[in-house]
Amino acid sequence: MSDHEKIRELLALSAADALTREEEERVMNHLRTCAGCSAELDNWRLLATGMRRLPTPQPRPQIVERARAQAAVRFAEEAEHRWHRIVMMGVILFAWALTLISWPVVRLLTGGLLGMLDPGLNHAWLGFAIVTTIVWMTGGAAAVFLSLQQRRERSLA
Amino acid sequence: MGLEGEVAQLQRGDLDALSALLGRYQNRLYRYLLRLVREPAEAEDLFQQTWVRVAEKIRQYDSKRNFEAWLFTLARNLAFDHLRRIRPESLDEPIAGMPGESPATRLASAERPVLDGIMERERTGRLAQALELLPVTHREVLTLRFEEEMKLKEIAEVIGMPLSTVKTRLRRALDRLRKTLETNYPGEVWP
Amino acid sequence: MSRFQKELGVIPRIAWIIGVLVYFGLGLLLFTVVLPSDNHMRMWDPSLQFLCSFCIALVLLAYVLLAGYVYGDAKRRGMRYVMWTLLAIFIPDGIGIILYFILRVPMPRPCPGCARDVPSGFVFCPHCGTPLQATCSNCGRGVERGWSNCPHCGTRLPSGGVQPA
Repeated sequence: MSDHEKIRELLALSAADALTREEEERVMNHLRTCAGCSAELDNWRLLATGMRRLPTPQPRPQIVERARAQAAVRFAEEAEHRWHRIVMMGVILFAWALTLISWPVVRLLTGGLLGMLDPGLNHAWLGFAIVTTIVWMTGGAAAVFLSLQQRRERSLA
Repeated sequence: MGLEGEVAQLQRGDLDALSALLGRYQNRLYRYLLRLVREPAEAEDLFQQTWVRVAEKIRQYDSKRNFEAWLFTLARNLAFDHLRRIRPESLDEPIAGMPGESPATRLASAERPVLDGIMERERTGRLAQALELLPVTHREVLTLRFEEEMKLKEIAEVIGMPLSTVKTRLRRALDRLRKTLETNYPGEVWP
Repeated sequence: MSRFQKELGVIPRIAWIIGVLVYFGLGLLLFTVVLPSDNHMRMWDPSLQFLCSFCIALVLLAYVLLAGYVYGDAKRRGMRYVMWTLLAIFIPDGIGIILYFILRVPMPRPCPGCARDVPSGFVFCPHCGTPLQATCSNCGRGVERGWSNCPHCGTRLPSGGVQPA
């Protein structure tokens, strides 16, 4: 491809200010001697100016307002989700705190009682395990029951 | 309150910042979407969806990135998903430079309904009309470069292509735009 | 007012009163009676015993306040608040409270037509009939934007957004 043709390819981009400095220099150097390419560049420049001067279509105000309202609703939902996550973490930590505290409490209450019944039964770990297992099973049963009930209520709606 | 301040406030959930950013970008974003989908009703719907997306994703936005490029990329993704669902054929890339084939005539056969539609709806400027005849990827780089006046690097970020592709596309788009104008409106053309 | 403070306001006053009474009562009880009765713990440094007593009492205060929150929150959401409060109190180790937070329904929202509060999940306002959500043109049930088909009757939904909302 001749130099001339290569420059021709760059002219459109030159009008778009999209050339590197080296490319721009090459083009300028060529244009000093070539009237044909100069005229071409002027044409491209006209087109570029036309593009830049296109009238801007504007959105209707009610569309902008609706977009704002919908985005605001979404923001509120996101904030709600984040808060809910924090609450869940807090409540779960609390539940664990209760579980841990229930162990010394059980010990305090039953250390004496069970010791009276039979010294061999005064095994703290056994007591903790039994209490915790009962609690988890109660909790599990309640969870299943409540979820089923809620699903039934939702499907009727 | 500069752009960075507004974006930071938006990340903290300040709704006034949302209004401010809307005011800043509403015309530009709408124009970009309209150039992509060509139908005002669709552009309006996508405009609303874009801002809802902004609300969803603003917290994941990395403040070191260019906010405008991020915003336009969000809009672009929504627009292209929409086009893929509604008018997948409009996304087809033009067949590069087949000899003897004029892009305008080939376009007219594939997109005649669009051209007729343009004549029915009043559009100012033959340039705008010619622009609508181009494939979407060409319209896109043209509007980003000339109407949004984005730097090539920013355009590359928005469309997700390397800089060299942006330059090539821009050149091809300009070529095609000119040929379309010359074919459809022979003689002096610029409005 | 931060989000946390706003939520604290949901707790009924009586829960605060009971909570504080329980806190001091249980704290004192633990410190003066229960801890000294245990063979290991009575050996501890008294300040440690004090701290231990009142920390345990603090957990119980939190328990009372959480039960109060469940009461107030379930009430404002239109749930069966008596049932939920009892569940929160009596299912052990706070599991009832966890369940409440998982299963609670969203807040009622004001109707755009008549401004009265409507429980979440409703498609039409029960007072004025304004649609609260987009609906399927065929079966009338609620659909969300972005869906291409109605999940109840299968009809295709118009693509450019369904109806008011």
